[in-house]
Amino acid sequence: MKKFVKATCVAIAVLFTLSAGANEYSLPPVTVTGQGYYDFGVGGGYNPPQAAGGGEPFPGYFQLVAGAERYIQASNVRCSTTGDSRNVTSQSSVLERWIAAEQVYRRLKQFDTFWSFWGANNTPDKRGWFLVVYADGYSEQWAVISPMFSQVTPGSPMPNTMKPGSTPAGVVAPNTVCG
Amino acid sequence: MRLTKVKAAAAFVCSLALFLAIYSASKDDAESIARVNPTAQHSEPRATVSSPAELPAPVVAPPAAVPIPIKPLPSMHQQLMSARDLRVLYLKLLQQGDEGGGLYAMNILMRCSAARQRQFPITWVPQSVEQAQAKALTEEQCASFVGSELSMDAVAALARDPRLQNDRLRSLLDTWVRESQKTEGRSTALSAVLQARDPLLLEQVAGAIFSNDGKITFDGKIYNESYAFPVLSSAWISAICDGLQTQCGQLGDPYLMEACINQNTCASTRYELFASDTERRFGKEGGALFQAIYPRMVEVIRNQDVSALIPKTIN
Repeated sequence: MKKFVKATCVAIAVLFTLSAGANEYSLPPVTVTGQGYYDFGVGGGYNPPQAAGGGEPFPGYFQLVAGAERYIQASNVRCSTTGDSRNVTSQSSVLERWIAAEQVYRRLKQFDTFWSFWGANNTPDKRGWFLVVYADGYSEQWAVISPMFSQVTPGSPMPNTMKPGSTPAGVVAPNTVCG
Repeated sequence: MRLTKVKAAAAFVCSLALFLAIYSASKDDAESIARVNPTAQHSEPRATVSSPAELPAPVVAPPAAVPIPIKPLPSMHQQLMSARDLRVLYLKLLQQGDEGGGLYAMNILMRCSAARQRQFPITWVPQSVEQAQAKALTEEQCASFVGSELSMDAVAALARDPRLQNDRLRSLLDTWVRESQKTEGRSTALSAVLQARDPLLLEQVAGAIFSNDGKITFDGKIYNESYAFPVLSSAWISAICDGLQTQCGQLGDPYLMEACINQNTCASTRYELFASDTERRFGKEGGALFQAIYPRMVEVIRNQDVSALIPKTIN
């Protein structure tokens, strides 16, 4: 148990030390596209490093941490949708949530190349669903069918998967990264 | 040196675990972080283009049709499958808002929006005649739309269109989503969805109908396998064709077209496509599960048997 606590403390230090700077230089910067949604810099052409940089336990560690952070951001409607969909909350209609979810899914697909390099098994296409974080911080699961299809998630969220966020339901809370 | 390596490894494992824990605490969904395995680098190259010959063949043929009376299907689905110009059909469907045209119109916009966003590498060339045909047909179907009509803002505006507020199919879908959270209302709402016998409506509930209080269930069984959920969803999409004896699974079926365009997996039926796909993605176990549950799913759809989707007696 002592060892676990010690290792956890080390991990905290490592995590905060490394992740603080990871976004700055390990992946291309997050940008806003002409269409209005955010580009997380992990699309086609992902080029993993061949050698470990300073402070990295293995090559690409910084990129992995930064990519995981951005994956979470991409699940948020504030980052991955445009127009009115940026304000879709847990209280919005099913159709509005569906449209937002479809856009989030398209952004999450940008991470396919990134995750395939790292051998991830929990991508939306492999487990059959993905998470959408609404503008009020509530989150909900939506199903996908197959990675062969680049379009249109089913229009029904997974029952009883809506989880509360840190703000009251229906209240739009700006995202720290995407506004 | 050895100690350094151990420390580095421990730091990585712990930091990753902590990262997952932080996300889990904030979102109660640690699983949405992809589990990573540094040792698995390059272990799973992303599938690009594969020829149909490389795909595993379906183990068994689809179940034979049971001779029971079949009500005529809504013509909207037949039109969706055979339309060469989806914009023409889209405008027509807007006039059929009360009859389910809204759900179909939204599907067309979302399909064409995704098709328009798809980007092919400059060096892309079709790997087969079928792939070239599928790409040409899909592009032709959506060619009449101007860009602004296919923005997701336009899709959102369609959702608010007053002509579609009384859409019968959308209403059934809304009711299902609302009632699916409740034990009592779930059965009634799902019965109504099954009785509508509409292929597109049945596609919309794929996946969600197998999720019961965090468990994946079908026909009285709980499935704990990691691949069970996507396999069940795939089987459901396939079974719609045989269950409703509709013409989906032919040229114009968006699932077949997408698979053919994206992966040169050009099957002639949904059954063939998804049976091969599940085995390719999830191995023999996944393929076997697909084969095992498929006939029952066809029965459920054909007989509108909601009992298989309501976990009354979970074993």
